[in-house]
Amino acid sequence: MAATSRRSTSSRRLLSDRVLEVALRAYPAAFRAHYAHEILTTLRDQRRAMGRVRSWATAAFWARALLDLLRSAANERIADARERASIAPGHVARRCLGVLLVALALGNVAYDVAEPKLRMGILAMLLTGLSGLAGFRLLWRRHPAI
Amino acid sequence: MHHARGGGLTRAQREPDDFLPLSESTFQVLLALSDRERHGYAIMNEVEIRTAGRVRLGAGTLYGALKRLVADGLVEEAGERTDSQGDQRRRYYRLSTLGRAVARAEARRLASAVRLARDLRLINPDVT
Repeated sequence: MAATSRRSTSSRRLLSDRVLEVALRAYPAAFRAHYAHEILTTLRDQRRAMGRVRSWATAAFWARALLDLLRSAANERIADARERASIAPGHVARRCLGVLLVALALGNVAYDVAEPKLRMGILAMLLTGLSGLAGFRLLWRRHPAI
Repeated sequence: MHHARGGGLTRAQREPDDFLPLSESTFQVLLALSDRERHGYAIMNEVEIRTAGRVRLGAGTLYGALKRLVADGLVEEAGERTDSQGDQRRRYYRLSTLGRAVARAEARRLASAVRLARDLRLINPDVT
């Protein structure tokens, strides 16, 4: 009888661990890597502190924990998406400006080659060179890690 | 929970008042860390005891809050170690100087609101 009870408790624990591991997958990877172990340890501490209680109380505890995890995971996903969205527009704008500057420089050089009568002055050459350099710099700068 | 405000400002440029008002759970987490370093489960217990069970933090909510507090520089990670029970390694957290200043600023803000309510006789003048 005692052995059956121990087996049942053990299988319930395995099930709760498995459910928790699935719930933790709802978090962004970076959050999960840093906090998953802490969350699991804290939940086990809480469960241990409850001591021996009726099965409905245990089920209610895990249900509350699961809801909290899913709600928190949704918040983390939203925060993650907001962070990406706040970084992305600046990145896109930099790329567009880079393309524009490189196109301007190449266009200027092409026009200079195609129309030998209209040679660029020193200032125009300088501006063309600077525009090309700035454009390449903007295009080749790596996207900051999110 | 508290979300970072004052976008564009770096952590060093932000004043304690920039973080106000704090949500109740954020304020309670800062209060729980005001006297000593604690791990997540100890923070949960402390908040529940101090608020007589009125504020109960779930594990997911707590670690989400801690992540934001650490990112904002209000709380610092204080390393991992085993506690007195010695069965598991746990990550400890402590209040930073900025975190303490923010907790003080929030306490002053709440005290000022209580004074106003008392002046308007919304609450008993004896309430301290």
